[in-house]
Amino acid sequence: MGAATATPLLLGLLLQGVLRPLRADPVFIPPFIRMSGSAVSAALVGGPEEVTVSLAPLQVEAGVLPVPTCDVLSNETGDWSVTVTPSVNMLEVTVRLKRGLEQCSSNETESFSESPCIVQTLLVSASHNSSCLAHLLIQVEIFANSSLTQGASENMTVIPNQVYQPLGPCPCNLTAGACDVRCCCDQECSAEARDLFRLSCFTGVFGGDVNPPFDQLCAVGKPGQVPDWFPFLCVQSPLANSPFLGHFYHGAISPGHHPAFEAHLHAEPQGFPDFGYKQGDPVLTVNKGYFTVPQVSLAGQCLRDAPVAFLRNFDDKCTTNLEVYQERDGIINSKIKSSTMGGIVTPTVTYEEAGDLDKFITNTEVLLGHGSASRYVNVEEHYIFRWNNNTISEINVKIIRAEVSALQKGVITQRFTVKFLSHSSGNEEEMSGNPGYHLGKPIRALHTDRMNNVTTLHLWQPAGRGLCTSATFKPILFGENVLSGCLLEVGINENCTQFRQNVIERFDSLIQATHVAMRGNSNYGNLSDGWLEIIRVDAPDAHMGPFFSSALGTCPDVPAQLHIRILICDAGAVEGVAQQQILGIQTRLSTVTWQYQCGLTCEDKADFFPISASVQFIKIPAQLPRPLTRFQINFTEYDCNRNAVCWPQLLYPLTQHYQGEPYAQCIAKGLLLVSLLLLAVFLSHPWIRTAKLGTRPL
Amino acid sequence: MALYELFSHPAERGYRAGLCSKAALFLLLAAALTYIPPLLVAYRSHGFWLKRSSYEEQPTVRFQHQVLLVALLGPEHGGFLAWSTFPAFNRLQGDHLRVPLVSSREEDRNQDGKMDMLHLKLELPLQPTEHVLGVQLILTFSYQLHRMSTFVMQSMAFLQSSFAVPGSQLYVNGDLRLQQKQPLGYSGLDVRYNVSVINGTSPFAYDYDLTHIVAAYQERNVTTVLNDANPIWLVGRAAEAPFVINAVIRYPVEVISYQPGFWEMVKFAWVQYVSILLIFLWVFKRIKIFVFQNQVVTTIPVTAMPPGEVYKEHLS
Repeated sequence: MGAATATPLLLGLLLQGVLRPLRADPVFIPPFIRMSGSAVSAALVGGPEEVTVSLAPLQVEAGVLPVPTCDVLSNETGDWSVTVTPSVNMLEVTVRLKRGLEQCSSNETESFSESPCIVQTLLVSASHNSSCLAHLLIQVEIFANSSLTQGASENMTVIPNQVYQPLGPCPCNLTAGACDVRCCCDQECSAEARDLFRLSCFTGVFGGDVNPPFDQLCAVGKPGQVPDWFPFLCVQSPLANSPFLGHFYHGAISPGHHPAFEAHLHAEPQGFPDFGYKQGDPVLTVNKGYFTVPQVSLAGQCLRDAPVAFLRNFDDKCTTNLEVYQERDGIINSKIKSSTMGGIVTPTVTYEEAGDLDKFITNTEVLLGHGSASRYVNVEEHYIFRWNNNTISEINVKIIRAEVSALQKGVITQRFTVKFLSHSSGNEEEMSGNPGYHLGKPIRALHTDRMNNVTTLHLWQPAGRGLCTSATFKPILFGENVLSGCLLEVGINENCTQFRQNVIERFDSLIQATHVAMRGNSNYGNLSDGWLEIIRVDAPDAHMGPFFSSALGTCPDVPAQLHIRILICDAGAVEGVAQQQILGIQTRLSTVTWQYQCGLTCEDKADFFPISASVQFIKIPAQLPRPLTRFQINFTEYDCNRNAVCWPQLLYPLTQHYQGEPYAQCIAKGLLLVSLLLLAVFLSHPWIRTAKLGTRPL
Repeated sequence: MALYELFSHPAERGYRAGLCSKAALFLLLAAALTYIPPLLVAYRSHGFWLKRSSYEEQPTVRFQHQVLLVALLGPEHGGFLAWSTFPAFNRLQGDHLRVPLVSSREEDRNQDGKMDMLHLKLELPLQPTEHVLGVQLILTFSYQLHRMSTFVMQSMAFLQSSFAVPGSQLYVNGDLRLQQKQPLGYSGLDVRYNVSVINGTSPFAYDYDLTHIVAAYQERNVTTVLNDANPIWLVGRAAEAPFVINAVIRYPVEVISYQPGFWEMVKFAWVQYVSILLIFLWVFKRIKIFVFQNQVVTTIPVTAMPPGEVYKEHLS
């Protein structure tokens, strides 16, 4: 009723609300509120600092609202109070009903009243120095059972046990707090409402007939249609106790916990260590973020903002398109917490210029415009963290950068390494094991004739086209059998002697050592501390007598394959861990006859001659076992690995081979069986008969 | 009138001798030869002890609503989009994060209280210039077996599929099969693998490396694997349409191998033993009757009387 007459006023206020902010005048947002609870709030935006807010009820006479004025300057009027709370850029105005809603809920028989308990119109005015600035119109319509006085119920609905009570006595009661049309079992319908649709109620279970009469009831059944045992075996029972109780529900009283999607997009950095860094903790910066270095994750893709874990080294390569390359800011300026107690470590950064750009940037279209602007791209970043107990004492950063044109296109490969070193470690040589070799560590070798004699054995690491000229060296690692090779360019007019010399030199470059360490910790300075001489089985002399190379494009006896055989064995154990050492090493070259491959005609094109090198680790037992006789090999009665019916597993459940139950339990059950057997033996006939016969006279 | 033997009953005859006599030794030897050879015969003919057995059960599988998605884009080198239900993972992705619309529903077809299949639909929004060439998807499940040992684990289905042509939809229809490298127990609680497959709270990129996740998962002795040989790539994506992954994953009935318990093994062994023992018993009974009746060893025959009777039997 008040809404229709409030419309022109509302429109006026809305217009004011729209136009006022444009003129920077204060305004209430929203300018009109329909209030159905006991408190409501609005925002006063754009007002000056000192603003007085007052509240006045409006008297609606003959359906027309009076013009709002600011005459009554009071913030409390009878049942209503208004409070102002300053906030960011606005004032929050809250209007509250002071008295409770007791008179509304006095009529308890009606659970749902159709007319509102309180109907009123309020005007909130904001004024400054007795000039009206803005108005807020509130239309109050509070219903008795709006339940805002009690607040939302925190209690859970008690679900009755469906074994005794049907859960839904009225399935058509779909709307809470209102009357459902055509639902005659709905208790929220008043008698008048029910009269309206009494003739067209829902029937059946949906209409509330959840306890239909069942066949065995005595009250049911017309004569002639009942079974023969009626009425002798029929059941006298109220309808509330029917066999359909609980039929529709499984009986669960509380909802089970089912997982659901709980995705979050944002996560704050967590875990501020209390006692310094532990292994695996993320390295933190002063402003509570993570210290990040790009790392490889997922399926090989690089993630730019990946945190660094304390004491975890890595060495990752990332590729980026130069067009989207952005320099990672903040390396120089980042302050990293040395520990959580305080303490900041600032990294010391050194720069180096990259040499050959071709190794880092691929797919380039080299721009020749020297006049264009240039920028620096970081090609490699090496971080060395020095740690001491739980703190980071020092960070050294070495950045290798290259200068490229700002318009350069292509793909750049960046390398990021992070290494954690103890603060007291210098440049000690890294051992390959202590005392035995560790799998995956390089073989230690030395050359007695050279000054810089710390070295290792190598194999080729082919690159690019696979040519020997572009191949790099890869150290031989203990325990890994490797085969690799490269292609050597040979012309058709090759001088055979020179060719052989060339190949032998290439092979020699792999094995630049005379001795190899037996153990992982052999001392380089002391030749008697476990060093083995490398046995070289030389290729047949390159300067052999009669040449058969008179034919052009053929060279016999060219060394083509280098075989390195290393004998290893288990030599004792330290704390239960077997230690391995090298017993011997032999290198051998095998030769082939090279022939130039011609097509239809022999042109003077370079041919490719493949050379390869391989390493084989052969494990031999520390002591040679005695050779087994044929009988010993065939006799498997006691060897459960080669015989499924070996004698040690005769009583399988009572042996250690059976892992299905604890051993003690098996023994206990076996003893139980034995006791049953003994009982049977003692109770059986011969003994009793003997005892009986023994007492009777013969 | 002809006469027929209507009824007969055995009359016992006893043979008495001292405990250190030849008869006693003979009896001891016969007992040993009766009871021990059946065990040896049954054992040496293989299969005496039941070391592995199997049973059928439909596992209780629930989708845990944890998803990790990596979509490989082309033709831009290195372009990819990623998203997961782990907030730390999403934080790492930076610009490559793209939030899809994921909807899932588990269906219990035969109303036995155990879910039978999962319908998952994932729509990844794409710009018109982006093309999806490959997808790697990890879904996690909670897998439970109850009939013998109570076995609870968290497992994953790892789907990887790629195609040379940009796709518009990937359709996967397969089973979640159990793979066992060792048998399960016959009773008790087995929660060795009730740890999540992906460490979702870790902020480090290392823990989301697919090679590490799969390596750690394959270290387990009991895993599940998505069994679909041929996911179907559909092509022809409209410019503004998302890339859709449509997955139907069924939870079939599994045959699970387990190691039988003590009593089950003893029961089957007993059956085998007794069936051979009967033969030996019969044979040696005949031998003993022959030996004692024909006085091969010296004993005193005694006719055993039924208890309570003191008269001698009349032999007619």
